[in-house]
Amino acid sequence: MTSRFYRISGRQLWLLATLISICVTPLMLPGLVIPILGRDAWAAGVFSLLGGVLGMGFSAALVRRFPDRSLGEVVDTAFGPVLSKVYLALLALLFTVGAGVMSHGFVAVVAGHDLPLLPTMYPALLIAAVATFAAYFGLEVIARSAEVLAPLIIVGFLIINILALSNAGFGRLLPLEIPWDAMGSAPVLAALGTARGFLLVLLLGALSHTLPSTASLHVGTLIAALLITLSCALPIAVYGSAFAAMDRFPFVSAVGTTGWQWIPTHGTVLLLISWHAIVFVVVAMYTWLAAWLWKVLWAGLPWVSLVIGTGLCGALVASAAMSSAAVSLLFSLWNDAVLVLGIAVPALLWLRLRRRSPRASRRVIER
Amino acid sequence: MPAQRRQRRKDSPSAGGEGGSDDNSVRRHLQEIVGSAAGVLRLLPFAHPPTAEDVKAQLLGDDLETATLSLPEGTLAVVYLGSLVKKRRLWEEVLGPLLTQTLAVNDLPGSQRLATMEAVLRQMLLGWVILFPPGGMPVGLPLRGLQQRSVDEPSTEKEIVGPKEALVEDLETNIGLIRNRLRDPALRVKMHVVGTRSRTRIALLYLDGVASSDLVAQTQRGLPTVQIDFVRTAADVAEVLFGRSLTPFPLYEETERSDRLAAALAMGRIGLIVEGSPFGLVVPVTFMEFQKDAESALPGPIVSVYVRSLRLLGLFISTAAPGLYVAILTANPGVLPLPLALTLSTTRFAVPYPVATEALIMLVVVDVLAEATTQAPGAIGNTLAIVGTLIIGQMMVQAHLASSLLMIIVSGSIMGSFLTLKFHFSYALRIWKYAIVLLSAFSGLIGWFTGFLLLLVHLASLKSAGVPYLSPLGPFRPYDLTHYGPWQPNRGNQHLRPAMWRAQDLVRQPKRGRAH
Repeated sequence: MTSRFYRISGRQLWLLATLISICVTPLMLPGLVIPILGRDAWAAGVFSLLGGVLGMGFSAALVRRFPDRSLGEVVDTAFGPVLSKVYLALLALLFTVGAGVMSHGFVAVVAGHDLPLLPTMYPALLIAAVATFAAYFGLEVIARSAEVLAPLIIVGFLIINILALSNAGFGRLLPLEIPWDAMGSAPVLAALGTARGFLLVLLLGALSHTLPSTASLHVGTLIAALLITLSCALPIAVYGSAFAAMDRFPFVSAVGTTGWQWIPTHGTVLLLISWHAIVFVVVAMYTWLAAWLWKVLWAGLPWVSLVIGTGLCGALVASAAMSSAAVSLLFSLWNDAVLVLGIAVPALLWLRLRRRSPRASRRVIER
Repeated sequence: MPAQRRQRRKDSPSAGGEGGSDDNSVRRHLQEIVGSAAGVLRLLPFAHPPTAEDVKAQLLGDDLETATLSLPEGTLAVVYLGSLVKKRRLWEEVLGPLLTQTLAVNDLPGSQRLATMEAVLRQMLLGWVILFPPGGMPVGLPLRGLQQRSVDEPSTEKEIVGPKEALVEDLETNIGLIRNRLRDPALRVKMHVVGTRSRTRIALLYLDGVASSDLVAQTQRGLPTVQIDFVRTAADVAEVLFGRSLTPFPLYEETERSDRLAAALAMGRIGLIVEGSPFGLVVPVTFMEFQKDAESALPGPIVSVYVRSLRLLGLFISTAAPGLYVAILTANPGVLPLPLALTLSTTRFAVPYPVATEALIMLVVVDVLAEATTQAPGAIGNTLAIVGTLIIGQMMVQAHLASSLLMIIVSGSIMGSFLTLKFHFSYALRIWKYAIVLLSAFSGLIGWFTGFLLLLVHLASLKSAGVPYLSPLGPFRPYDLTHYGPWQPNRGNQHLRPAMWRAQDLVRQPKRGRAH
C-alpha cells in the first residue's frame, strides 16, 4: 500500500467533505425533518450550520493537534490498542453499510419517483460496481473524478432550484417562528447533514496529512446548510407543510413539478443526473474508506480483495428489497451511528488528550 | 581424474613452449569460456584488430561489397554495404584521392578509427565505409547514401493556414527541422541506439533548464535499458520507458508536424524521434491536449469558441448519442414529451429486434465501413464510402433492419469521432460507445450516465509519464486551463508554462508579451 492511495491536496479534501455533506441530504432529510418541524423545517439548516461550524472546527483542530498521526494512532494513545481496533472496525462497518445506504437511497428515489424502469437492483449494482472500480485505484482517482464532476453537480443543482422556485409560494412559510417545541430533535436531525463531513475531515486529514483552511471548511458547511434550508423549505413553499409531511421524498416531488417546453418534461431528470454524480463520488469514497480501514486492521489481505469485498457488501445492502419505511429507518440509524462515531468518540478523544502534548503522545505510541 | 587432465594438458600441442603459443593457449582457453572467436575478439580488442576477413565472415550478404587497393605501404581493403553507401562519393572522396596519393588514409575528412569488431559492424550497418590499412587499425568513413523522401505536407494533421512541413523518415532531417523552429542553444539532442536487431537510432529532444529534470533523467536512464529486438516507431520505446496501461486512449502524443513538436518542447515537454518514422512522439500528454489545435484560435476568440464547441459537440455526439437513443427507447421514454416519444417509436415499429440489438448491429456495420474506407487506397475508399452510405444504409432502412433515425444517429456518431484531432483518440471514443450502449440497454438513463462515470474513472486513473491524464481538470489547475482557452496560444496573459508539465522554468515570456 503506497501513499498514492491517499495523497490528495487540501482543496480536494475540502471538495470531498463538502460533497459528502450534501450527498443525499436534500433527497432524504426533508422526509425526516418536515413531519417533525412542519412549517418551520427551514430551521434545520440553521441548526446544521451552527453544529457544522462547531463540528468541522473541532475535527480540524484535532487533526492539526496531531499532524503526523493517523486516527488509529490517536485513538490508540487515548484508549489503548483494543478499543482502538474496535473503534476502527466500527468505522469500517459504518462505511461499508454507508456505501449501500447511500446508493439505495438514491435508487429508491429514482425508481419510486421519476424513472420507473428496471428492478431497483440493477442501478444499485451499477453504482456499486463503478464505485468499487474507482476505489480500487485509490483516493487520488476519486478526488480527481470529483473535481471534474463538481461543475456538473453545481450547475445542475442551480438550474433545477431556480426552475423549482418559479412554482414556490413563499407565503406558506410565514410567519417565521423559532420552533421551540422541536428544539430537542431538530439539532440532531439537522446535524445529520454535516456530520459526515466532520468524519471525513477527521479521517482523511489524518491520513493525507493535509487540511484545507478552517475558513474554507466553514464555507463548505455553509453550502451544506443552505442546501438543507432550501430542500426543507421548497416542498413546503410548493405544497404546504401538511401535504409535504405525507411525502417520503418531498424535495424531489417539489422539483418534479417544474419543466421546460419539451426538454426533459420532468425537472427531476436534471436533478437525478447531478445527484447520480454526487452519489457515485460518495459511494466510491465510502467504499475506499471502508476498504482502507479493513486494510489497517488486516494488513495481510490484498487490496483488490478488500475493495471487491467491501463493494459487494455495499451492493448487497443497496439491492436488498426493503420497504420505504425500512429505507428511512436505515438511513436514520446510519446517521445516528455517524453522530456517535464521528462526533461523540472524537469529542471524548479531545477531552482525554487535550492536556497531553503531541510529543508525549508519540512516546506512548513508541513504547 | 585430475592427474589424467594434467597429463592431457601436457600432451596437447598448445601447451608446449613453442613461440607465440602463450597467446594461442589464452585464446583457446577463452574460446572454451566464450564459445566463439568473435567473443574472444571482443574481449581482446587491442590484441587483434578486426580484419576485412572477419567482417566478411560476420556480414554474409550479397550487398556486401569489397575492394582492394594496392598502395605503396601494402594492400588496402575496403569493405562496405553497397545498399547503404553512396558509391559516387566513395570514388570521388575516398578511393580517388587514395589512388592518386593526394591523401593518406588517416587524413581522409571525417575518418574515425574503430578498435573493435562490434564498432566496425555497427558503423557499417549505419552506412559507413570501412578501410583496412595494412597492419593498422580499421578506419571508418560516413558515406551513407540512402534515398530519402523530401519534406512534404502533413497528411494526417492538416491545417489550412498553418505551416506545411511534416517530419520525414530521416533522423538528421527531422532534428534539423526542429532546430530550425527552435533556435535555442538550450535545445538538447541526445542520441541513443535501441533495438537489439534493428539497432535503430533514437533522438531524445528537450530544452535544458526548462523540461522536467526528473522526466529527462528517467528517459535518459531508461533508453539504454530498453531490450526490444525491433523498433518501428517511437511508441514502441515509449511503452517500455513509461509503462503501458490497458487503455484505448493514447498516452503519448504522436505528431508529424514539426511545428507542433517544437511548440511542445518549448512548453517543457520532451520529444522522441526515431530513425525511419515520420512521426515524433511527445510526452507527457493529457486528455485536453488532444482537443487543442493552434489554428482554431487564429481568427479570434469568437470563431475559436465556435470551432471548439463544434469539436466538443462532435466528441459528445460520437460517444453519447447511440447510448442515449438506446436508453430512452429501451427504458425511459417517459422523459420525453408524448409527441416526440410517439414519433421516435413509429420510426422503428417494423424493426423486428430490440433497440439495443439494432443499435449494436448498426454500430458494427458503420465501424466496419469506416475502417475499410480509412484503410483502402484513395479510389477504392471513395467507392466504399458510396457503397456504405447509399446502398447498405438505404437498403437496411428499406428492409426494416434498422430505423432511419438510428441511421442518422450512427452516422452523426461516426462523423463526430473524426472531429477529434488525433486518429488514435477517435478509436478510443469509438470503442467506448459500445460500453455505453450496453450499459444503457442494461439500465436505461442510469446506465447511460454510469457509462460516462466509468469513462471518467478510467481517465482519472491514467497517467502519461507521471502526469494525470485529466489535468488540468482533475487535479484542477485554473491557470493551466487558460492554455486551452479560445484565445491565441501565444497571448501575453499566458506568460507562464502550465505547471502540470512540471517544467523547471515556469516563466515563458514577459507578462504582456512585450518587454517593459
